[in-house]
Amino acid sequence: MLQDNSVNPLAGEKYFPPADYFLGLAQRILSSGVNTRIVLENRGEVSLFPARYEYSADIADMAEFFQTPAAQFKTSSLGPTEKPQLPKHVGELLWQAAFHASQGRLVEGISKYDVVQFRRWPNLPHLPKTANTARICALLTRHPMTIMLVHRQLGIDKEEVYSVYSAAHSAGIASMVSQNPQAVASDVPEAALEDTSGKTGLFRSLFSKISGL
Amino acid sequence: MAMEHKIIFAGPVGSGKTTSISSVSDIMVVGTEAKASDDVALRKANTTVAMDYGVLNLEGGMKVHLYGTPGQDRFNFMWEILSEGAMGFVILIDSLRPDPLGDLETYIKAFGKPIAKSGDALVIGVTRTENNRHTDLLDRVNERLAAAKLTVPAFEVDGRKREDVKQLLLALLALLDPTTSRSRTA
Repeated sequence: MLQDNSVNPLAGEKYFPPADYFLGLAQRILSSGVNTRIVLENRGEVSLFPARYEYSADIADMAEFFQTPAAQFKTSSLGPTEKPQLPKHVGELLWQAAFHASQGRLVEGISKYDVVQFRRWPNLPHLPKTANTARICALLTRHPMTIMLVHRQLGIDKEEVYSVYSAAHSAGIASMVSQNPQAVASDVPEAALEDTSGKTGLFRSLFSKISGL
Repeated sequence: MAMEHKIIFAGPVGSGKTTSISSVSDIMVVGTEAKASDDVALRKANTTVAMDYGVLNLEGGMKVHLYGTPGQDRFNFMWEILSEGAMGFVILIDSLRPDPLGDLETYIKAFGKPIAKSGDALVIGVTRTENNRHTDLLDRVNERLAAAKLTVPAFEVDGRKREDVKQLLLALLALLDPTTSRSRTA
């Protein structure tokens, strides 16, 4: 597991470079267009089919696999006509890889002051997620805002937002509205935000009930 | 009409409405099933003719009622009755039917007014994908939703799995959560 402590001096936050992990390897293979098998000895393997935008995988421990340094993976080319046995959407693989690699950090190249939005919802039942992932998706599919404001608006840890946003960005469902603006209309001071965390009794009870199912 | 504490499960015959409600209901689902006839009998022995009913019991004695609408078009007079004042909608689409995207459009259109009244509190579950994985079906569902100006959750789910139905309901609640919508906080 990498302990990357690289710090962006402009934002004072920790970032992770995709190239250090499976994520960067997968992105490079997708760009190359060559069907490729990626193996981590005794831990699992992934077969990528860029033209089909599909993959198949056999992985014992997702978090360990996707947090392993990229240098430890071995790759080999597959035939151009080969097909996955149980095909899955590559977007799901990229979400999984980025979510686990993130470990509470933003993916390199993104600032917490970027105004972002989600174009659609991820396929959450098939993906790793945090307790508030659905709330983050609900907010960002409806309102473009800075990553920092998501953390404030929802009253959740910024590390949680960083992991979910990094996954969504890598999976291609997030887009940047404007980059690192000096002043963002929607980015109001924390004290100015209405305290809506005290949801009505019904919503609080429903969240509690369904979360506990 | 004041918002009632009820969630509507809609979708074509065999899409998993009864099963999904059963996965999470605190009571045995009250069904109105009858022996299927005509083409429905080819898909399942029994089908819902009026509604399915389940309940989520909450702290303090509150209840959220779960209604499953009948899937056959000829019972669609029940759709409007059941959906009046609902807080949210779960539309289930069977990926194995001949035209799942057409089904999606049919149900979005049929429930368009009550969905709009709920503030677009809608989630889509695409079922029976386990053995028939068209990896781009969800992309096409999202394209159709975008064309209908709906940016709502669309998940692949198995109605037999409580965890999958739980994710649908958590997403629906996230849409209803006042902190995720400025219009709701205003």
